[in-house]
Amino acid sequence: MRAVNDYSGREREAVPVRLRSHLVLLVLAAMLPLLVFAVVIVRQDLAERSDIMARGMRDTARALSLAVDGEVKTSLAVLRTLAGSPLIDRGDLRTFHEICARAMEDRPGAYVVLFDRAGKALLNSSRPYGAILPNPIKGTKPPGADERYPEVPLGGGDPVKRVLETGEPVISDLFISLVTQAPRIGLDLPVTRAGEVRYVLELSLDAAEFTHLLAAQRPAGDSVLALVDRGGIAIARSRNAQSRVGKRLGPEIARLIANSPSGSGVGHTAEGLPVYQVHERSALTGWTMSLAIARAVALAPLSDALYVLAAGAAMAVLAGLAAALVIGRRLSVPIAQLAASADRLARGEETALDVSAVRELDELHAALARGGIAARKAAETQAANRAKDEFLATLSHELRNPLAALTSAAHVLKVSDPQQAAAIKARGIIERQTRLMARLVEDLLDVSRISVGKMRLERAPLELGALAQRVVDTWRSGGRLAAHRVSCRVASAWVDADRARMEQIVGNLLDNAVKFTPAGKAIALAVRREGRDVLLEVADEGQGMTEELRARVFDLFTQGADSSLHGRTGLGLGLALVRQLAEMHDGSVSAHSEGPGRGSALRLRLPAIEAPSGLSAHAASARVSPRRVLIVEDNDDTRHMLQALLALGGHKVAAARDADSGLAAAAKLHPEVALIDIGLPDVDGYELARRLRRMDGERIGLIAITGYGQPEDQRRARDAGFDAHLVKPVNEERLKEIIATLP
Amino acid sequence: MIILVEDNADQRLALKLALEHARYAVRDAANGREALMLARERPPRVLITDLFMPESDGFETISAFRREYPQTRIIAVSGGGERARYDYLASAKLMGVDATLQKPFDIEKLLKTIESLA
Repeated sequence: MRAVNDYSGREREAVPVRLRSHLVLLVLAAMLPLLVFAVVIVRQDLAERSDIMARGMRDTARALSLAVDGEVKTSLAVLRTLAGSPLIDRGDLRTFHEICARAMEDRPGAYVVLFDRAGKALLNSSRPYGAILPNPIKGTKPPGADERYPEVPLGGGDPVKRVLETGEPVISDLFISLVTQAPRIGLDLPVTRAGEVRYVLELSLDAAEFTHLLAAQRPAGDSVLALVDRGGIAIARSRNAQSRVGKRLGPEIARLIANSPSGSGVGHTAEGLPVYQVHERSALTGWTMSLAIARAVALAPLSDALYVLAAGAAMAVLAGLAAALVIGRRLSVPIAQLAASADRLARGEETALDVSAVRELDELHAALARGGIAARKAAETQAANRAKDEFLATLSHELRNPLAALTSAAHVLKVSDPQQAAAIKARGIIERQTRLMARLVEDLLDVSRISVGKMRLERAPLELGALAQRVVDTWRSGGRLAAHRVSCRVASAWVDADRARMEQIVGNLLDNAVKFTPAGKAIALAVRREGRDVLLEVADEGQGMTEELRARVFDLFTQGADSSLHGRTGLGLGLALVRQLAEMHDGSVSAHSEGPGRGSALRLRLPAIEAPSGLSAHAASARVSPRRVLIVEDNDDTRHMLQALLALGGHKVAAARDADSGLAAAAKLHPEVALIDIGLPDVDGYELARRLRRMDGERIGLIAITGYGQPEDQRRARDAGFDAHLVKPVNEERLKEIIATLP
Repeated sequence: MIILVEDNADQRLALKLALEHARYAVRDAANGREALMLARERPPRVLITDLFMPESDGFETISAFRREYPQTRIIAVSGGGERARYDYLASAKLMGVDATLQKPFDIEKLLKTIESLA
């Protein structure tokens, strides 16, 4: 739960719900009124239909009731005719019996009985004349006497008695006949002579005849017809007559019948079947005709309609929900992809554009991707700018430091006697700091060249072990390793590489070790074969690296962590150059450290090659031999410095400040080597080189000196016939080496 | 007496030579901790300190000297440092140093600054 602002600005609690749930809600909201209206309409229709059905049932019941009345009326008419017979007056009962028997011939189960005033049966048309017959008035017993029919009186004495008492015809309720021991109905008529009841004539009807009558209606399978007497006892029943005649109906139905002469309702049959019931009472007999139809059948139209409606509603809801899920998926999947895309963009990764089924989402996705690209470009630009700013700040700091030392040292030189110890120290400072700045500028140029792809390697087979040993020796003799215990264990290992670049790599690795290793601790350089590779390792007992620093120690501008504030470590170019150069040589670099304070090892790995035959001995035996060297350089400081440097190296040196005097000097000296500044005042260095070549044939070694180290300058120098190319300020070691190796 | 704090050996040596030539007694230290040890032997008149150094940096050194040796005049020098968009010499001024110099500086200017403080 979280509080959000709705459009009115008030705070409310909101639970975020899935898009799918919203769609499901939409479907349900659309379906609900439809369902309500459908139910109302179906209910109305059903009410109408059940009304029609009820009316039909009542009509049936009334018709049946009238049919029973017709039967009774017919019987009464027959009875009335017999009662008027003169044979009774004459006392000719034998003949009367005969006539009665004949009258009953076509009425199965019916017979006529004549009672005298005492209830004595004088004759029974179903028995032979003279047979002994029971007296119903004396023989009648109340309900319960016949255990088969506990609610029905045994014997029809009561209606006979009533006729005698009232002188009116009586239609009896159900009783058990004393003659047949079966349920019967009696129609009792007084035989009146001279206003006096002389006899009672009874037409006795078998209750089964009424059951036949009901059965003749062929009621539908699930309906029950019943004829009930005034006491609520079933006279006839269309179903289970055997067991149900003489019994009461189901209690609810019995109540309905007792309550009104005509009506309808619901209840259960005596068998427990739930029914819909109508009844109609006859005014003639007082009996009630009941028609019950199983509720399942009566209400079948209702159920069917409800089933159809429910099935339709269910199908509609299912279809709606399915559509909601499908559409929800079509929407939520691309939305989820959008979210994932946004996350990827936030992490600065590329995002793929999938086509969804929703055009607006695709447009949004595309817009997001465009926005992400724009944001990434902006971020990259910003990062590049920041990196540039930091780089420039670092660079200015790195230049200010040696400049500060140079300024101070120059001041000391200015104010002190050149032979004083202070002046000598100052010169040392200037030499070191100049070299530092020169290397800084060289490194910067190298980084720049590599980054624009302008660096060209001059690869040749070389022996890395000897090269590394030579660099260490040079450093040692320069005093740069004096503070540390430095060991060097090299095996012979050949690689195909650019000599100057390999020296640069070894130098940068050594420089790094010296910077980060306290005085007195050990630094170990080793070169060895390892499988198909040559491995060069510089290990130290220095300050070590954190895992974080180790991972990016070869990145550009990365510097030792706790030295980041004091600017002692430079621009973070050295190791970056090592890696770039290594990779240009198809090699790799790696850094290892046990952690801060536990030293570190930097490794260079290059593909090994076979030792070229007969080459190794020559390089090793090269020795510095005195040579005749001509210097042509217009800058006085540089010229003097070079002159002094080479003279100290034992060479015979001549110097000139322009091309003309240079050619003059060459004519005298016949130099083996000439150092030529390209930017001379009269003719340029290239031209001078060509003239010297013409003058002295092919033998002279030519070295170009320029302020620029661009590949283009190197190429031009080569084209003009130069053997080597040096960039100001001239590296002494490199100069010595070139002079030694020129033929 | 001047105590000179500078982690770069060449810069330290060059400055020391220049100051000694101007006849100042100079003791030099590679970091603030060493400088405080020297000051304990004899508190200096002037402290010249770089701002960015290992061990204890210039700012710590300045605050320690301000606390323990209020009489010492302090000159802060800096090459700017990597955090380019922030003027550290101005911060040093706020900490109560007496003068600031941006590297590289003219020695004559440094000497004049020391004279003006003495």
